[in-house]
Amino acid sequence: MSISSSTRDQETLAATAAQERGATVAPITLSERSSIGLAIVRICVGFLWFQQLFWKLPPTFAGLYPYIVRETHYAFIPGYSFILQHTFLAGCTSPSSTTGCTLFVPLAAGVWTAELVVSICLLFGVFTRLGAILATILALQLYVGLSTSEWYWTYGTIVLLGFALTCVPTGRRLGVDQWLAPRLQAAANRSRVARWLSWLV
Amino acid sequence: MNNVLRGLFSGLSASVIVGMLYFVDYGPGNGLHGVARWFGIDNKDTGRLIGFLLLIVLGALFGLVFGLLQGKREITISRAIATGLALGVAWWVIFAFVIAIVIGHMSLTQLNLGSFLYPFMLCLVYGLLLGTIYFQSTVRRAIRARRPS
Repeated sequence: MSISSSTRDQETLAATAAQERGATVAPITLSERSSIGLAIVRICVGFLWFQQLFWKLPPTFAGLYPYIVRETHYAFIPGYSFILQHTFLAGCTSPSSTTGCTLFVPLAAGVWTAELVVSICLLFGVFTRLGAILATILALQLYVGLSTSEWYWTYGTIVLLGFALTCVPTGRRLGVDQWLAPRLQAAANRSRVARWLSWLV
Repeated sequence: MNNVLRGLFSGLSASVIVGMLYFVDYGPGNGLHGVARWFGIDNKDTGRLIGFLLLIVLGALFGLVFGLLQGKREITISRAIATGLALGVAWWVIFAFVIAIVIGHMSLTQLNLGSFLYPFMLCLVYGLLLGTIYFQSTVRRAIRARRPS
């Protein structure tokens, strides 16, 4: 009796272990509600980036300047401040105005355009992962330059939001990727570019 | 649910999501004053609430139009997105531009990149949401109808 019970226990354990192994490698399928929920998170994060365009509007991008100056004081990577001061802030004469700065406007235009691209990608769910990767990079830069001047997690959270949206294809609900993804996947066998692009949706 | 009612439901859902966005940052809901300003009925005390209600009513209205435009045709994701975005542009042109100038007394000199981009993008987001929610609900209904009882 005890021998047969022990055998049964071993069989149950083996079956459970096999189930665990199977569950570990099986792909995780998101429900429709979870996908919609994540799509709404994506739109909100896109809106977060979108709103940041308005305090540093072209052509002067003046609102950005004090933050670049602040980064030269608070960046925690050695040499980062030196590089900023001797490249993009070279020639600047005042900490409050962009007078004399020759490379500030090209830098600011690049930042503004990148944030606009992030906003469009995330708000409209078009090449969402490209937007999320760009958002992660931009947020990492903010984390390096400004996190020691404020609550650390302010920028850490934005980095993680970008990373989370890189991992999950959130544009395939409530987004243009819903239309793009199947087309790119169909073309992926014939075209290498389509294969690369299909990873970004 | 017929197409017009589905359009109404999609329009309401899309406008609630867009209305929610106004509370994400710079708020709560200060941007809704801008919606009330289109009709010249903004005020410090109730402007936000008026803006939110207008957003919902306009969202429902454009949802109805979407349903009417769709008619009995079979919906595709490309047409749903294109129609939704076109209605989003129409929303911006009619309300955030023409009505805002005629009724809200907005001056053309006030129009700059910032004052254009903010409402325009939100109108487009509304349009995209309208199209995708409509498509999603149509497909889900079709799948449910095909399932054996």
